[in-house]
Amino acid sequence: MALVEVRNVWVYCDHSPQLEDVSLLVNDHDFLSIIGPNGAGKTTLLKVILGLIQPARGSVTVLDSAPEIGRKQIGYMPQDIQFDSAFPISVFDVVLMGRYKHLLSSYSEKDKKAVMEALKTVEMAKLKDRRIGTLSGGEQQRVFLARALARQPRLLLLDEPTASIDPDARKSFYELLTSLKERMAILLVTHDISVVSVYVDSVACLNRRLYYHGPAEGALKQLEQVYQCPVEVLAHGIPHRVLRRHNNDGDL
Amino acid sequence: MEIFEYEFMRNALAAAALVSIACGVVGTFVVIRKIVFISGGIAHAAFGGIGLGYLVGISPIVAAIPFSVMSALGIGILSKKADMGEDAAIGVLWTLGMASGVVFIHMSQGYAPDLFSYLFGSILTVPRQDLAMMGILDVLIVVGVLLFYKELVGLSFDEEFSTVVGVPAQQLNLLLLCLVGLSVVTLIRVVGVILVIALLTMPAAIGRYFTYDVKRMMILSVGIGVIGTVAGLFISYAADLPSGATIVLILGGMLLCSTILKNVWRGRGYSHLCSL
Repeated sequence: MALVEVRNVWVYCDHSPQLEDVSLLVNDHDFLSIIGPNGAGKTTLLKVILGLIQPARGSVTVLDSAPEIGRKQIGYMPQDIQFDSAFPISVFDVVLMGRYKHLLSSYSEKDKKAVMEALKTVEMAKLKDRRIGTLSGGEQQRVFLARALARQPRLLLLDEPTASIDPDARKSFYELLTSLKERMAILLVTHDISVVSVYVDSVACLNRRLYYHGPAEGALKQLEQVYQCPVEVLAHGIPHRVLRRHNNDGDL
Repeated sequence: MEIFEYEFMRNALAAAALVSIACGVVGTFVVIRKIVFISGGIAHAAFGGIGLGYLVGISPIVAAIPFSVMSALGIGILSKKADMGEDAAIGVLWTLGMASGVVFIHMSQGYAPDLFSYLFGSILTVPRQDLAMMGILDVLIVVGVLLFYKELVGLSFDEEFSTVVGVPAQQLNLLLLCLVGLSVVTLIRVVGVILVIALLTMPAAIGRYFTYDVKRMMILSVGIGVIGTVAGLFISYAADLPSGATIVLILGGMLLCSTILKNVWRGRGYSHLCSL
């Protein structure tokens, strides 16, 4: 069953197109990465899936319903969340928001258990009583991932989850995601090409149009077109290394 | 204590307690949601209602209720829908409210003896019927916040995520602004439209220094509000100073002291005493 079906979607912002005729399918157990340069419309596409932006043309369904309904089964982790570092809230209470049901409902013991489970998954359980603003960037990312996981979602949507964390934290973050993919589909938006060859199974290359959508292996050839500059990939077997070819560099 | 035998003093103490509830509960959200200047706009716009009260001959405080709720909704809707931007919407309603208040008072032709008290507050002259109304507004405010507590906290922290998990963000944002409107009305008698914003920010700003739980922040802010308003009341009575302004200055002093205290604690490594 398709978790997300985006069909021929066009989005405009002040008459300039942000997305042009984009179609995308996310199935159960997919680990898909949408990659593309800044301004390619990656975040816009996620917001279309979440029903936060209405497309001018085309259709979107999430779990066979409208995004506003289906999104309740999505675990969403927004791009670097802007919040006041003095905001009076503990890590536990941030993650508890992921268990929100509807107006006038209250959080049950089951919700609290799910929160602790999610915090354990991201290895943040011991910091549960800390104020969120006192955590490091990498720790905050993990807490926001826990908030998305606490929903026990069918699909995890992550927008540039590692943009603000250091390379070591990035590696362990991706390894954490890999361990989650048995339980849910993952859709990851990033401009970090190094993730593609190592962790994800399939790739969608976006630069307002969708240039490629398929297994990760085939994607690397398409990246040049998307980024409009040559991208050289040093063998799939040697992970983590994606180099741009510079003029006068000669052969590497 | 003989001064407690005066009715005006008992009323003033009751008023201090009632405004502290409003400013602690709503002020906490004003501070964490960062809507201080929206609240300032609503407060000044409420002056239009006071003027209308003079004109049609009803209690200015009662007339201020629909006026401040309407301006709260107006700011909320204009800033989102009219392509205007929030600060512009605030500026428009802030001044339109004040201007219509001035015109209404002029048109009412009568003498407006306590006009100054609506602008700057006068805790020593709060009449009984206004106390009853402040009590009713407090009940509405507390019930509204209790019912939608987790949604309001969620929206204040991360509006987008809250929307995705199903919080009706637009409606609750407007509800919060309406609660601000109601608390403005509650506070007018004590500090006046011009100084309302002090009571909606300072107790909560002090409270936030000492906790990282929104509920505790509310309770602390209510307590700080009581201390500030009661201290201001006695000092203004004893020294014959304008009460609204005295209360604001006392709260300002308390804010300064707690800022220093917190930094000293932090500098000495006692940060666990003040939640980091």
